[in-house]
Amino acid sequence: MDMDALSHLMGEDLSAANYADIWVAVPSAGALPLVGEARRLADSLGCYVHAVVGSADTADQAIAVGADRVHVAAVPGLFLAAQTPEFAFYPVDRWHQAARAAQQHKAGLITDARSLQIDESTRALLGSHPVYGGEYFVDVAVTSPAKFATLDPRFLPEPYADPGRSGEVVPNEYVAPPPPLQDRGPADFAPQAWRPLQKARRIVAVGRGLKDEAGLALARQLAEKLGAELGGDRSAQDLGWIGEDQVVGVTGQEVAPDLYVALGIRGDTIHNAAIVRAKHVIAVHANPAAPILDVADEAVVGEPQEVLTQLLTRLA
Amino acid sequence: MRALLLRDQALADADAFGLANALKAVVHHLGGVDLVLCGSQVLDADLAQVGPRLAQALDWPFAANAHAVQAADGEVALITSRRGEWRQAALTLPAVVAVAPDSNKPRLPAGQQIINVYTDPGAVETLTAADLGLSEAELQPLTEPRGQSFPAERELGRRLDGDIAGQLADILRKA
Repeated sequence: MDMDALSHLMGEDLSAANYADIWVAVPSAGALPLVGEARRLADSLGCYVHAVVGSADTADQAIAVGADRVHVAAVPGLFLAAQTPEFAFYPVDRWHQAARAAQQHKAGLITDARSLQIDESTRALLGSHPVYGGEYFVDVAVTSPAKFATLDPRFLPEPYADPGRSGEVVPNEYVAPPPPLQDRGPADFAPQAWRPLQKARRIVAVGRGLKDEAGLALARQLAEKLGAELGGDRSAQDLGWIGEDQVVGVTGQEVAPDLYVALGIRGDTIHNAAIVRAKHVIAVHANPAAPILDVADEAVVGEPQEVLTQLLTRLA
Repeated sequence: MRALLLRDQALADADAFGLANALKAVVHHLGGVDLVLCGSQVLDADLAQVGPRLAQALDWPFAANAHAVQAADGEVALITSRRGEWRQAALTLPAVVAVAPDSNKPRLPAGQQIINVYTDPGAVETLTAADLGLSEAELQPLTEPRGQSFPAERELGRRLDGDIAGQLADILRKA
């Protein structure tokens, strides 16, 4: 039995005909760039943009940046799940609501979607999602009647607001079901692996290329001098130089410091993908072919111990 | 303790939608399941969809980023973060819970146990999609991979030569 016949029997019509328009969940004003993105796509398709806002205060702004219809609901993601959107956009931090709603509508979902487009003939939703924290992107097409995506407002342009735009606030009587997660109050808790590196402004990171404890001691001196946190790659943890909570890597911590000094770190994919948000990267490695040297702003080919010894005298 | 392997060519193209339906069928196949634990996300796809999709398919509640998970008396208690604050919370069973990556350090099994598993042909039960009564529609992919794209090449930095220590010292003083 095919899906259409089945859904017809069950009294719900999941065929394309019932799914219409672009719907956007806007739990707070921070998600308004998603409405701007929906407007851009709706203009090329010729369909409406519905914004579901978490508070009536955001309704006017949602209209100004592109919504034709605004619905106010306490939990926008759940309200949206009860509609029949042809395209539905959720902010990335509501990924679980988006995934549940997508399953409910037998819809494909692009997580953390970038460069969204709609194929006007097939009405497929085209986009890409990052892999290994943005090391590369997988391009996908969503082909189900309903198409879902989560978007990160940080990667969208500030939407153009036209206070003169007209739109309609559509009243509704939707009452969200009580949340299944029962809150039992604050927890006196810190995760086992505390993650001081994520907020560090400066990081000195060590790797096997520092050779021995003497090299590690030099790196510690530099960290102290710069007021930097000490981190390292997986090889440094294997050597017992740093703890699990100090490992920089996709499997450890992804960091975004102003300054990242990599000493004797070869720089494999797992490591380099975790420092893409570092503003300034300096790398020292003896091997001129070490991948870290290609992602550094300033790269030094040399024995890290020797370079450090000279550098520390200069900084003294 | 039971291990179950679901292996079928029909699953090769399945995306998170099909995977959630397959896992739902496994849960029903096992019977009497109260709690499904899953990871938060995989590294290479980073989709984080399977947990909440499975919860939806089963019509069970879902919690993410869970630490200190304890199931007792018809509910699962856990600690999770909410707007940067750690909260105690609970779900009524049955439920799907995605545990935080650093919530637990797995214990290595004893060597003898590993050997026992290898020598016991019945240790792992293998199932196919047909065993679970999974239909084509349930496994149908709703997304099509269309290739890969790469971010703009990061501009190659400078390779320092000459008075390296001096240049580095200048850069670090300004940084």
